[in-house]
Amino acid sequence: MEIDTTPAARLRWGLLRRGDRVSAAVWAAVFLICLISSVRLPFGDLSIPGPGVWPSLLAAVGLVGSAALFIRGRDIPVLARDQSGRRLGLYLAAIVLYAPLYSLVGFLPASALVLVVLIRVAGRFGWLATMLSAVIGPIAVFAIFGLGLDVPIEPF
Amino acid sequence: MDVLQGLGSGFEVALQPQNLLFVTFGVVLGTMIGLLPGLGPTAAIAVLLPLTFGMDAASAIIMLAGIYYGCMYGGRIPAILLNVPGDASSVVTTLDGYPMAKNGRAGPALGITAIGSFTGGTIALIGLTIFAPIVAGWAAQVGPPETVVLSAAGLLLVTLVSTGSTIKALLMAMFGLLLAAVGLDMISGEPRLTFGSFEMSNGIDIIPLAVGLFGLSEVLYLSEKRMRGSQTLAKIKGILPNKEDWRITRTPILRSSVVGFFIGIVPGGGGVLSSIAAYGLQKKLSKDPERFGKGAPDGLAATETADNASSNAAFIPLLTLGLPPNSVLALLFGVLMMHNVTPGPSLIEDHPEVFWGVVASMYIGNLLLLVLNLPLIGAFVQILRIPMGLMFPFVVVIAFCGVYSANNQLFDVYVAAAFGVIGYLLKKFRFDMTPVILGFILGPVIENGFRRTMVMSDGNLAVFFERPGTMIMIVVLVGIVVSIYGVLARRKKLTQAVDVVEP
Repeated sequence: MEIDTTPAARLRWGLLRRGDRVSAAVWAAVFLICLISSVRLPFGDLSIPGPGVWPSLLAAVGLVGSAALFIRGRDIPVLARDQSGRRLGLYLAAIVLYAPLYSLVGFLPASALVLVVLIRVAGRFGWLATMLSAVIGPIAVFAIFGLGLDVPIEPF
Repeated sequence: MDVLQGLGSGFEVALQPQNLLFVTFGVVLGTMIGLLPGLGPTAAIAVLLPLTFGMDAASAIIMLAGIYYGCMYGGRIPAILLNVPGDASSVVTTLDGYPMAKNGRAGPALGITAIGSFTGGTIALIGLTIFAPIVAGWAAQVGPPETVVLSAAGLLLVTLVSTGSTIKALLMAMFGLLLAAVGLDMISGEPRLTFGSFEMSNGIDIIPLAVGLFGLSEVLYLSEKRMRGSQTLAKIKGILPNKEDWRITRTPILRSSVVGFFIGIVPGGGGVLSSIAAYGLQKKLSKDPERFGKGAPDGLAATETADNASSNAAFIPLLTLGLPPNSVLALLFGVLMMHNVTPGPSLIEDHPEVFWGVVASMYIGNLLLLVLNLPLIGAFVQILRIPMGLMFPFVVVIAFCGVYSANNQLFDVYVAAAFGVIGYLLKKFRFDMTPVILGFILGPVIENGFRRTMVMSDGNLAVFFERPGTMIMIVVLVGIVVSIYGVLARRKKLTQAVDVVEP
């Protein structure tokens, strides 16, 4: 897969052309939140370290690392010429919405719906392949996990 | 229990019908998954890990180890036939493997890979059998300060040798260590980094973390790309190498087995580092190095042998020191912990059936890999024709079931989805995630050891520099860092190649 690192591609990604700086800022925020949360915990003393010492130390090192990345990082994100945002969006939606869907309708319908969306809409396969996969697939997976491994998955 | 007696008892475990079935299943499944460009052993093991819940510890590791080395071999097939490396270490495979295939020698290239992998793996296993009990015996003597230094050194080495920027790898290690700190403090019971969530007070489970970071993120990452099956495969005929191939590959195979074994013991040393080191050494020692990169069978043999030798040798630090040297073995560490088996110096004494059973099954698995792959290679490569767009939706469904089955709660599924998105973004922004999982596994070991050391030494930090054990480890660490510097510099050149062939 050829990576598109032309100036035009970098510009298309707007802010992301400063990929490392963006990620450094996000990491700094994450570590800062962890540091604030950790320093509230008891520190004890060096002979009996309290629960706050370890996470505070890690978050502080992480903050320093984020600053170093902000200053020194020059990478741009991985870009590929033939990437499909639509397919990514569908997969993302399927992964995020799978659990709520399961709560609503149970495993078999939720899985069948996820498979239809991913195979037919995202993968652009024919209806025959889609329907066969969406019917047989969830039943087979349910047979392995629900019946074979005794996982209490609700089929409906 | 001496080595031969232990190995004998191990074969009793490994030759039990169900374990033979598990190792065969693991090797075949691993080879098939390894064939799919992009899905490496870490993603495969992360997604399939929940299948082992109903098994005993030995059977679980036997199957997952089979998947591991099956994947390692399977990943070589698209690298040779299509010039599509599934992971960083198979980039080195493409250097001579693909030119061989283009020259009409795809069969011998795959044959050399299988034979080199088998020899390297077997020599490393002999090393594992002999050295592991010795290392474990030594490790049993060490105290908390040595444990802290050893674990921190392991994490540091992995951070240093991971792909891409060292600063980013350090951030990933900190992230992994922080994730491990989430939940109730092990001594005071105080909730840490839970942000008021009841579910988070139990800590983060390894299954949703691993499935999200390595499985779902990979699916999201690859979903952006073209998802067609491969239609044009090089023809495979005459898998066995000819006389000339045997002559020029036998010494490199033996030499690279030793190189791979020793590099594999070092945390982070397996895979790409061992391949590059063995390839570089072979090129240096060759009388006509200009053949390399144009289809040199000895170059391919050196790479593949060292890679498999290092994968098997990597089990030594896991099983004897409790130190997983890469992300796959970090997951195996997690599996052992889930089965109430603690990897480390006491494993051989406390659970000989697990230790020796796994070692013996690796001999069997290695042989199976050779026996299955030589005649069945034609069948295996047909998997390359299956479109990814049909496979990935099933990975999502299986991942859902696997994560849910860990604790039978939907919260874990949400956690996995969140880590899937985080992992996808990390990949896009070129963060290597290996230090995350190692940090997550080693975090409690380092923190526990540190706190025990402080109590033991009455808060004296100098204890880390006063004990002979810790001093030796620090000196060895410095020596390793210096000696791998050359390999790292060579790896840097190849990193660009990895970027270019990103699937």
